[in-house]
Amino acid sequence: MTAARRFARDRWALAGFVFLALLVVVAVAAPLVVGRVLHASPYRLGMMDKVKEGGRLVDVVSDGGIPIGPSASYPLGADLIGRDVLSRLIYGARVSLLVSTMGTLLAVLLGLLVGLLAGFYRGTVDTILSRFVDAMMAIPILLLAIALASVLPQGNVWTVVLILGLVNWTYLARIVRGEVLSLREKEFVEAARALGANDSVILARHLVPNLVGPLLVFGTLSMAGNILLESALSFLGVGIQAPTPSWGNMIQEGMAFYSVAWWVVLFPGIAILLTVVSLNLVGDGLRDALVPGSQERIGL
Amino acid sequence: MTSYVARRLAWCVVVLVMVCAITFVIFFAVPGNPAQLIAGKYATPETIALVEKRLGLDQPLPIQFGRFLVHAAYGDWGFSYVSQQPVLATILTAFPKTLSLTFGAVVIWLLLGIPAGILSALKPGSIWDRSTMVFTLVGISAPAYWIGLVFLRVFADRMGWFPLGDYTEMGQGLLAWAHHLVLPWITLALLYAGWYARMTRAQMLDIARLDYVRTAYAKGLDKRVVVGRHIFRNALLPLVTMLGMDVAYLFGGAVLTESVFGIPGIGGLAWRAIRMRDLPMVMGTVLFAALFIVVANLIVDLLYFALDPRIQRETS
Amino acid sequence: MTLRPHLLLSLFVALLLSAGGCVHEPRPVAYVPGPDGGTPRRGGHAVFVREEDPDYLDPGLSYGTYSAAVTEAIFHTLLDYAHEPGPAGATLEPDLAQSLPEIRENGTLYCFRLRPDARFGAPLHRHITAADFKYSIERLFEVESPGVPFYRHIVGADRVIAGSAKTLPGVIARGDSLYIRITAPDPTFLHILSMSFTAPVPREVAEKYPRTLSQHTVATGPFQVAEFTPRRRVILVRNPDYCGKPAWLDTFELRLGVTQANAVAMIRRGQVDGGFFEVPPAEFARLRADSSWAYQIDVSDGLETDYLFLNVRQKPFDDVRVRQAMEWAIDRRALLKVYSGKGIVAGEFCPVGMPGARPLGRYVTPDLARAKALLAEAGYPNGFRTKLYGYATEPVPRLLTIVQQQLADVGIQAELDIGEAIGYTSMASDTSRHVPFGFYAWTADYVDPSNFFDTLVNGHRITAINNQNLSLFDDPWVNHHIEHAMTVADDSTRAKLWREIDERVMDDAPVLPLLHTFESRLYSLRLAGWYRHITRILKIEDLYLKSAPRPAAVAAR
Repeated sequence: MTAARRFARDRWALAGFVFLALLVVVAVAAPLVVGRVLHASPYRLGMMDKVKEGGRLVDVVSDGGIPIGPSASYPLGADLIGRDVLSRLIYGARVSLLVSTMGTLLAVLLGLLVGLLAGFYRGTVDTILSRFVDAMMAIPILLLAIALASVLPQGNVWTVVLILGLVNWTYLARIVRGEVLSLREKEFVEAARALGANDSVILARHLVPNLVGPLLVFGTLSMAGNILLESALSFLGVGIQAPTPSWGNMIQEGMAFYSVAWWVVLFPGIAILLTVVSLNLVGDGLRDALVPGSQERIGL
Repeated sequence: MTSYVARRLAWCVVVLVMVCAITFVIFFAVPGNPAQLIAGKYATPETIALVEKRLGLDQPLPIQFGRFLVHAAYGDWGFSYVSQQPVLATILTAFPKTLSLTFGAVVIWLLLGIPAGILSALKPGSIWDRSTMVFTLVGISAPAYWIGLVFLRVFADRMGWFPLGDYTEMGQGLLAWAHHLVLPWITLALLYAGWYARMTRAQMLDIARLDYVRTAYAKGLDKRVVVGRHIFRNALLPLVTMLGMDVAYLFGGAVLTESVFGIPGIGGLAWRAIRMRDLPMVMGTVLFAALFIVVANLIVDLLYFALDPRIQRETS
Repeated sequence: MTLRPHLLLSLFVALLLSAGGCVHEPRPVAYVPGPDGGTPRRGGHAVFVREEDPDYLDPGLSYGTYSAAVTEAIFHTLLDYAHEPGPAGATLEPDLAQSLPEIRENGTLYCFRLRPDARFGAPLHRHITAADFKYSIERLFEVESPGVPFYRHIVGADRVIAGSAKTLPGVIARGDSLYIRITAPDPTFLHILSMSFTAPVPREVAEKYPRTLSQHTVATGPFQVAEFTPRRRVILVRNPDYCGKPAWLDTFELRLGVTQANAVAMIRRGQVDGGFFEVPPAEFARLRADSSWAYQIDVSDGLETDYLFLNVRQKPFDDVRVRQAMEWAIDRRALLKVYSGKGIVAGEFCPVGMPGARPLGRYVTPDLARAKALLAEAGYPNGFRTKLYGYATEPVPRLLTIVQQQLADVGIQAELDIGEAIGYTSMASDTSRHVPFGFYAWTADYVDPSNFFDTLVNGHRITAINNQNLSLFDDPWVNHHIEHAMTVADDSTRAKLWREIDERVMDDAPVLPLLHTFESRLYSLRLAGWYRHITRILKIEDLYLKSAPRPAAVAAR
């Protein structure tokens, strides 16, 4: 059975995959969706707007400052300054997905590089790199991320990408190093070396292709972590900056008013939850598919 | 054996020095003046110069770093730029709060996670197993701060069962202390309970496949005996290791949980220090957190060294 | 930036200016006061909460704004302010003194006669003599009280401050007669003497516990301290030795270390009765919408104007048409929603609660067509780009986001530059930083329009640093009239002058007033007798429990 088949037979992983695919489609098509289907843009403030609800005109934001809840014109309600929560959620998906995907790619590249070097050359190179990885991993990840966020230029999406990449590569580097350590003892590497292949050929032809599987699995899982981390940073006010919507900063903006306008906090949280669950399901599914014999061990 | 321990200890020190170096680099190697960061975005050049001088930032970087390391080794962690209070004393005042948070959360997640994991492993694929796995998946996927907010809204604000944040010292009554901490405990525990349930289940299923377990069954031993004596006991070691690492990690502070529930622990301290560019406090809290992680790593390594003869052979 | 200097420091000046019987225009009634609590009754226990401990329970040392309500319930002195809400509360009445003093020698000698029944509370229960007052005033210098600056013109105080004397020859005690002599006449001196710094402290106790008097208080007011456990609580009980009007409540507890998030929930559940904190906007919105709670929020005009300043020395704000266009572009009603409606829109620079002020209602209905026409006339038909500065304290960023959008609607693209609150004021007030456009909020330091006009728009006040005229507005007519108005003694003439100046400021538009935001306090459903006192914030002795408690079904909400 091929890996793809095995993956497709895992209903949970498939469900996660379908959700993610839908999310990506919606996020990519956000300008179309928001323009045609929803009436409000994610940036348009409706402080003085009125909408018809049940035959009556109601304020989008009441005189007391409470925004309209889930209703016909605002399916998921409005936020504190009268912006449509649903369209912000959709635009937030764009930001969250973009940032965590790019961040994960960066982390994978860094992890691959460091892991390959450490695992392949061993000796002093390995010692230095491994100690460095140890030191990085001894700093709580969120603290490291906040520290980086507070010194790097704020308000830039790429800053957040950089942070996600910089704090997450260590874990991947360790995995890659472990894989390389065992791969380099394998016969095909020995054979290539006996045939006179130099280091770069061995690395590129024989090691990297064999690392694709684990990287795919752990990349997916670490992307789940990155979605959470990005939202946490934005929640703390050091990630994606207003007015650009991100799920984390939506929660942060609504937090003070959660007792009267719960929808501003609840829906972005659900969006994060579903996305992370899906990524975890897909990650688990990939592991089962790519590492035969593990089905009964992990997954649902 | 002694040489191995000595070597591991030496590496710990190296790793801690590197932690300091990394933190130092983050705050000094970035473009822009650290004094500017400390004095704030709107500070005048004069203020910045004053800050530089007062904090010794006009000295060359290696000297500053060396000075910090030497002082840190003697237990002098410097003074906060913001509050002017000694860093170590401030950290030690915040530590009991973090300790309180961690303690309760650990109890809850162990009580939830491990039994759930065992029951799942006993009947893999059953309804119980499937629903537990769905539940744990939600636990490990939900943003903790959001769960905390939802809990506050439902159980504190709506129902009025718990206070809306605030921390009460244990000295002001055990009951009041616990009452204030129940929601943060559960919030933090949910995430870990998920991991522990999955880990327990996976470990037990792994071991159940091993030969000696099959032999035990073949000998006609009662299932309960096999599970209890052979499977669970062997699955325990990795769990204990994981627990040690997690507890060490949490001693460094749970930034999000602490900030949502207003617990004045290490996480909150670190978070505020980073926001205020209070470098000595940042270094202090990061070093404090790293200390636990490094020590926990050391203990785990030594434990494995003592228990597993293969490592002993490999390293000697 | 909201400036809140120590309340006491500012208010005696305020009272000087307002107590003289100014013309008090009716304030715009933003909130209907609720049904009163019926006749006050004696007895009962009320609980308040607060996050921080009171600074001291020592009349010589306490100087925190929110400690004041507690210390002033314990320590009374010669005179007190009338038990009335609003400006009427600025009137002085005799307290431990028999009457208002006789003022002799061209206003430099104050002669008081103490009440024969004035007594210290437990454990002394003894008569308070003039010598006790003399000791307390001299003690201020000894303990380096924050009140010392107020009393340095008492005869002999200079030598005490210099350290060459210990006693004040200017304070003479003869039995129950107290004479205080000052070096030059001071019309504010009665207000200075009414601050609780002068409350008598018994020498025998103060000398026994020089450092820990807060733990050994001897009351002279309607309440005495039964317990003070730092970081836990303060318990006050009615002081039977107090010779004035006794407190209604038997006991009053101040629970410490409770955050405002919890405080509101506790008050709503009836666990506590009030607290010294601003009601958070979300809670405010919710409670205002609730018929029974709407009346338990005390909303009082804190005399504040939130405004945007335009640097008139910089393009394009040097053109009055541009400034007016921006006035017309802003919809202040939208901004008021950010504060949950807690305040009124500002169509004038001076807060309307100020004696003599009247709402002018300028620019309160936005007119985008007019704004665009003015911009075109000024040579900016397509608007322009600028930077709007502000600070990150909630809800300012939200407010500025709305302003940003409203300006964008007439073509003005304002980029937000939001930094920490710390440092914002010093940056904005440093002329060399050339901040073009920013947010500012000003709360009255004292109750007189000059605190707004003279401080914030008088061109003669422009300085290189610590400059409060952030617009750098310098108009000879305005400068002259401000300075003239400050010298006019007749209240109605003055009030009229201030209004003319305000009209002119609104015409010239160096500032875009947005809102006058109000203060708010929440009290439990069973508590009555509360009101925002002009100097004392809250008179605890006036609190009482309602005689007919509301039905439980309502109270449980």
